[in-house]
Amino acid sequence: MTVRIGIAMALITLGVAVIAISILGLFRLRDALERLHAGALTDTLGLLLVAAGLGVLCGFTDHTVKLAVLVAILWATNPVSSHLIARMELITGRDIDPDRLEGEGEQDL
Amino acid sequence: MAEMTPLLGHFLTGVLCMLGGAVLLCLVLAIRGPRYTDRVVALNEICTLVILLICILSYVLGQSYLMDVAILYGLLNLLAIALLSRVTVSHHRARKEKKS
Repeated sequence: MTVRIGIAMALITLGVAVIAISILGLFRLRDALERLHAGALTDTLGLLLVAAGLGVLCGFTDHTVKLAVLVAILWATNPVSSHLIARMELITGRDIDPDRLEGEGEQDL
Repeated sequence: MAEMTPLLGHFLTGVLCMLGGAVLLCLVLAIRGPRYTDRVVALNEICTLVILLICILSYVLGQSYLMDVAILYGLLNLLAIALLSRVTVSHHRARKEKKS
């Protein structure tokens, strides 16, 4: 029991440290694309570490299954939203149109 | 169901406070950002932090239906950003066509 709580506390502490690094990066970097790069740290590793810590605490219950579903859904949807934000920055800020570049074009979202 | 010792309770409360502070820092970033894409990035970050906060809160309260709220929150974030991106890009393209 105590070992389980220790492992969970270590995992959640690591997750909070990763989130702190990510927020530091959001403040230090200047451009929107660089900030996107720093913010992706929370979406992947911070989420995984905190969810793993809570999963160790819960054991095999429905709570853990819902945590796994949450991690799967967020790992699928967060890259899509990052892609959309980067595309918006390219089109409106830098005047590059990704749909009219050479090669296989993107779909018109 | 969920095991809870006083040390673990204090630790989880501290983590909740730190996540709340992180949300406030992201709010500062969203107010300060020079362009609106910076603000959208900060908004995305706030959404992920709030999802983590809801996860820890659902363990502290011992009620697993809050996880459903977290999953829906993540899906709504994607929907909001897709809608915002589409509206912004189409508006920008229409303005550029009118200018040229």
